Amino acid sequence: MRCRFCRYYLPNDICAHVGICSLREKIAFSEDSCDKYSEIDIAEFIKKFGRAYCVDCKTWIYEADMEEHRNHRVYLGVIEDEFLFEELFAAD
Amino acid sequence: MDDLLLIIGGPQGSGLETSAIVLTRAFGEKGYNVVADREYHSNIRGRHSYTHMRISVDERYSLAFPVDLFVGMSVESVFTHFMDISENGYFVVDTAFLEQRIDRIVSMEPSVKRRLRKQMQELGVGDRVEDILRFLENRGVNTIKLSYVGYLRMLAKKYDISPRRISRYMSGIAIAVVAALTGIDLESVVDGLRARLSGREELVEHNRYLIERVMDYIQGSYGSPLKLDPPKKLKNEVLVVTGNEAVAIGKILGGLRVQTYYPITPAADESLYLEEKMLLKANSKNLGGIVVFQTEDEIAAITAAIGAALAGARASTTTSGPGFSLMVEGFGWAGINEVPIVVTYYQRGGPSTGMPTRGAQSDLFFALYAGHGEFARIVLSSGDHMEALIDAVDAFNFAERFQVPVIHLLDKFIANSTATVPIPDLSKIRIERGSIVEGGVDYKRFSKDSIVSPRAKLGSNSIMWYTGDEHDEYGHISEDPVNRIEMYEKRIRKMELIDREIPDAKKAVLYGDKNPNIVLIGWGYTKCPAIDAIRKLEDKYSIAYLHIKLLAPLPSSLIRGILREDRILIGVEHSYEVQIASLIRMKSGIHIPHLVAKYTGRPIYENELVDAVERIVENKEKRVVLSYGE
Repeated sequence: MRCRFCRYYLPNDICAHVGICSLREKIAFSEDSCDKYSEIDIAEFIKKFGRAYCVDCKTWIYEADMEEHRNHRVYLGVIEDEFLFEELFAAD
Repeated sequence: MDDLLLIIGGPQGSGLETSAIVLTRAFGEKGYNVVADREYHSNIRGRHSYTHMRISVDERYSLAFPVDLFVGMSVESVFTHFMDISENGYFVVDTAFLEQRIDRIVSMEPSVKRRLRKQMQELGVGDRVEDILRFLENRGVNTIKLSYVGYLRMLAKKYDISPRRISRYMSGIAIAVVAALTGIDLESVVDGLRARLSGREELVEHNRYLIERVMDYIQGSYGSPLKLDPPKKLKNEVLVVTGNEAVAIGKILGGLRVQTYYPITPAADESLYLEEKMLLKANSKNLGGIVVFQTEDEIAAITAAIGAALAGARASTTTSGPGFSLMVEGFGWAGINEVPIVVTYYQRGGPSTGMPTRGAQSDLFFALYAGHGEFARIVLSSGDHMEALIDAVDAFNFAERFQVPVIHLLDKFIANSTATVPIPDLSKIRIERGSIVEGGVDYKRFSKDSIVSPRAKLGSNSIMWYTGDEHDEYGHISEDPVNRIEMYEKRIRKMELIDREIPDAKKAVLYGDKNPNIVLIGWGYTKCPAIDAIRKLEDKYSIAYLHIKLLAPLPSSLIRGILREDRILIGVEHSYEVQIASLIRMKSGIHIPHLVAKYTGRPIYENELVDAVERIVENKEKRVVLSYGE
């Protein structure tokens, strides 16, 4: 019943313990819980919507990738840190 | 305590850069000497990355292990660095990490994971973070478990914070831990934050609240056991700059007008910094502008810089190994046409893409000999941030005075490290543009009357011709063998002129004992660990470090005077071959029998260089290969 397993929880890409509750549209913590909890089957979600996000690998995954990401922290989406660009050196 | 080493480790993008900059500013403001290196993976985000800092009461240039303080912002960083902490050091982790196992870390490279697991098994350490902490506690390390999320929760209760800004708060926690344990006051930290988060007062306020809470807890529970003694020499003002920024500032002071680049690690940040300063103002007076031109590739970058230089602008281009590979044809064109351009070349681990975010000095021969045919060039290298700044000015002066392409050779270690640097004495900075004329009727761009022909700018009142071919004095194509000899020699003999006219202090500098038994020889960033190492060893040995700045033309007679055969000579370089030793042998005949090489992409650390010198001197080892650092 933790937020981290809830369909509405979208983690921050860098610190997955903190994210946003897409239902309440406010900050949420992965270990919290609430009465709006709604568990989701990631495999089913990917089948329906095409992709989900693996926060461990920092990548979107597709149906064919499911096995590779078993036991990873996979969410329906992710929120980008808006200051990420200030933390990285320019590169190519 | 007069010297503090610390690591803040975490995923890329988690605020490590901000932590390093804010702490460097805070300690710098107090008069401490700070160097901070970022070691980061070449993927864009998420992979393990860390800031390695040294804060000291007097000047230290390099980094060293073990560290006195470790702040872990990720589970991966805990497993990666647990052996880097000193006995009695402080090891800080998030309580959320405690149950985490090494096997579950997805982002860690499998080979690193296997190696660490093996090491842990040999040490009898279990595979959870909790086991690591127990192991460290048994060795006398002080462990601190802090609920990072708990503090973020506290912050979220007080303010309406955005989950999209968590990196900003994660850095706040790391900053607070370091500030508390080292006894740096809150206001210095907030000053540093305000500078970093310029114009975002709301974030400063949030961080202030967060940092104060964390500091209160740490100081209440542990005090400030890592408090530094007062700085030995109080500086009025310092710059807090990366090597990229130091070069950019030097270029601005040196009169840069056109900078071209194609983005590449670790060079691009210099151009991005310059883009922010394109409109130059001082005391509300408009001083003109700099054109910073991102081209479609490196071939265009160097040719655009050449065009700007021919038109009379002080022009440079900035790149790294793979980019310079593409620039070589243009570089040769600048050579035959005696174009005063500066190529700022930041070395990284090669060949090919190699290790883009790791350092190396293995491009020395490439810089010295890039291009077909023979032509005069200057290759100038810098050993630290201050040198990088001053050399950026010199590079332009040399290019225009001698009308040759100049390579300013740097490396990732300097480019991406942050340091406190004294404000340069601006009264000593001179812009020397060499012989510039209006030209006019019958102007001979390549006049043989002097080795360096008076230079008219494109667009001035004169006609001149530039091709890639051998040419006569006007620039017209010529294959006359007599002209060929004269033109060839005119260009090549510039090397003798340069050797005569550049002062010795800008060619090579001997640090340490002036009549040493042992001489370390190096260039570029090697200066930093070498100076710190000879300082550590000076009570034991008569030792010095010969820092070679001018690599082409190599100051052979100066070097010969120092590298006598009765001395123990040790070449030190971030490469396999230790190319500087080969170069010295080739140009001066002196054999350097002992070599210290490092090619892991990580910098040479003071402790491993001290150890290497001892092995060479005591055990007569010929070659020591260094490998410390993750």
